[in-house]
Amino acid sequence: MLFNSFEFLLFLPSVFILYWFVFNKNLKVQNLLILVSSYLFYSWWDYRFLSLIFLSTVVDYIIGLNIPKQDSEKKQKLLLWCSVLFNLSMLGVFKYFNFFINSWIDLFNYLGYEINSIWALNVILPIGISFYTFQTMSYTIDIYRKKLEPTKDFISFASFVSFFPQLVAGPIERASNLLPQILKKREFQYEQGIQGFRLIIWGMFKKVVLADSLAPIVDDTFSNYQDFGGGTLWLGAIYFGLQIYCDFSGYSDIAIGTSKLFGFELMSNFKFPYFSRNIGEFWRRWHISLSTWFRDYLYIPLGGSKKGKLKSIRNIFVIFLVSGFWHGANWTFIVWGVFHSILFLPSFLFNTNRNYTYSIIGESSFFPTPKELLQVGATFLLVTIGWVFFRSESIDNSFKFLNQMFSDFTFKSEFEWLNIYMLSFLIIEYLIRKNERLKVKYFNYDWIVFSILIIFILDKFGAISNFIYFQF
Amino acid sequence: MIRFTKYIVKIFSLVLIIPITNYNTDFHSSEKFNSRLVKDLIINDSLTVNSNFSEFEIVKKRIESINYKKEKKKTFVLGSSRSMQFGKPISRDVENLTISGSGLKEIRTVYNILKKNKINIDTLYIEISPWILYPTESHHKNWNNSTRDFLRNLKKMFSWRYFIENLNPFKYSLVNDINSFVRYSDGTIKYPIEKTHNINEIKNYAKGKVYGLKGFNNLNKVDNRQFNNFIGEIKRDEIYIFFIKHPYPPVINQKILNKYPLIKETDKLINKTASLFNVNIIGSFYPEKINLLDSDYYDGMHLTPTGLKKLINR
Repeated sequence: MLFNSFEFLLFLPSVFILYWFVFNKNLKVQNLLILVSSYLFYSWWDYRFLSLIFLSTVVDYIIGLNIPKQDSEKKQKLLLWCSVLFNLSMLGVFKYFNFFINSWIDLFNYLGYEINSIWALNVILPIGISFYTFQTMSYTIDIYRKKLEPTKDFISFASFVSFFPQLVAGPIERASNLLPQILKKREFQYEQGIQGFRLIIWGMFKKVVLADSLAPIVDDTFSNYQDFGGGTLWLGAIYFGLQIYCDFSGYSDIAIGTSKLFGFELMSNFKFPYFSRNIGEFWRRWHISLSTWFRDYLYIPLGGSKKGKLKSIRNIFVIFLVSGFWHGANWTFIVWGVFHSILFLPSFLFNTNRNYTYSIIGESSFFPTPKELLQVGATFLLVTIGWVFFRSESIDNSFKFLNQMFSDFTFKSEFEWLNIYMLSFLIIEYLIRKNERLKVKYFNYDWIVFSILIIFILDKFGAISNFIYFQF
Repeated sequence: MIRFTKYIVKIFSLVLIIPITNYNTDFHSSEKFNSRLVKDLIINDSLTVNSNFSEFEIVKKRIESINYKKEKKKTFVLGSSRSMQFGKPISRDVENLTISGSGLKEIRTVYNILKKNKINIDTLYIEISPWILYPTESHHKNWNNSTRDFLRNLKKMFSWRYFIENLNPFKYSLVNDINSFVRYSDGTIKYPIEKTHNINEIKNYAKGKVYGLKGFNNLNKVDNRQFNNFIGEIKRDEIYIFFIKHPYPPVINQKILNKYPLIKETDKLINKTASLFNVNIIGSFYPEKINLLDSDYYDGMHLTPTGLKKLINR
């Protein structure tokens, strides 16, 4: 089920009413309701793939229970590896198998051996598989690291794995954050409810009004880039940057907002990444749940930055490469990851990557300083170039696209109204830059703003379009 | 929870102004409005148009309102916006029943309304759009009744753009204003004075996806059976038929033909239909055959009156 569908408009209030008015007395029944609703939500897309979620849940539930029971570190590690390998195998089969087969065939063909593919699988990518497998892995890893006690409550654990607001596109929650909330009795709180409602509206506005308005122009620009001048291609790439941000952060806002309506607090996934002053800051603000996942479960176990410069550089390269590959089985994503590692390395080498860890642009003044503006502009342009790899159909196309971007500056300007919309959006984002969760009251009649947003959403609602991150 | 519910109700109470207003002042479906507009159009011969009308409703109303039955047999033009100047702007005495974006379904529907109203038809000019043989959903979905139409209408009720249109009291005026669209009593239009030939607009038109042809590239789907049935039906009603083909401007035509092979396929099948039913063809999908120049176009698909005259008179 899509958040931007009529079905969800009926589904959400129904579950909300059952949750708070019918089953509010009994925590177990409330959790069961979450589980059933989540499975219904997922099966709206394809009920057959529920079996994968269920299997992943059962395997990690059993392994999680058994890790602490083992009498030796070696046996615990063995169980942990079973969990990790099981989850990665699921990803491997459903997401990466055909990519590896085809890449091998391409390689052999390149070397002069003609091979026809007989191994490629005819499978579709189960929506959300990259998200829930990472979520369940975090559970067993945290138990192994003794950061979390395993739960015996299967229903609660299954609800954690399949929690519908964030099941198909994150934020990728840590068991240590979400599971204790599921196991604890929830009370409805006015502030939390209002904040949740506002986040849903804001997220929906970003997706339905902004991202979906940009989508056809971006599709057109990337499919027919040969027809356009460099100026137009720059605009197309910038539009894609804004589209993917509005689309994905919109989804995250709806997910966080929906969770709040049910009394849960999810982690933030975006903190105004386009106001970043360097690439390091960008990655602390973009898809936070994924980048921190890789930091905690890959970068630090590899040694992080504590084992000398060379190993640190290797680790950075690995984490960006894997991050790119996580997005999809295509060389374009891998190149995108490598491109970002190259952008990140200089600041790492000169020890500036940890600058701006806690501050945001215009931290102590209303307007940003000229230096900040220049930094934000430069970071935005570099990220935009990266998006060309991410969005192109092939590496070849992305280089041709980039070549045209830098060689021909003719410009087709017919989207003035859209530029005004997007500029207004960025100004609003700047004004709320210190609070991505939309605090309850900005001014006395701020509810009117949300009424107006709903009016804009309703005007565009119904043109069903998938969220970009569903494909990952 | 009560405070929360109050907050939600407060927010939605403001939102509800839109559908309530739209429902009560829905001018597209308003019999009264459409009748008044058609009456004013006939009396005044032309109107300055400031808003989007339901073109289909107006065409329907014109057919129903004007008493053709008492008149001699008439000539009608059916097609899309490309033929919307075929009439007074080029000094031709016809009734123009064209509707923007029309395909076969729309043309057939208008013809059936003519028949239902027992109109005496002498000649029909039928515009052959490049997408006429491609199975498409009707552009004007409110012609049929279905769940999708219900949702579409529901969406319209919640549209703030429609809300603003509904509130605008000056949807058309009786004054002839050259700076706006002018609609004539025969159904034709005159473009605003500032709309002139624009070569950049023409060149840009071929970049990216072309209007009406997006996603239309499956040649197996190009099928003339329904079209032939329709032409056969008109022929049995003993009506003269002309097909009108509008080419794209010379500077972009070849590019569009290459990009959308269905145009050549449509051309081939239409020629077969024309010879099967002995129908004359006016115009061509190849501008050089009818000496059309880029300067004969306003934009990537609409001819100027001079261009249209060239096409019709050849």
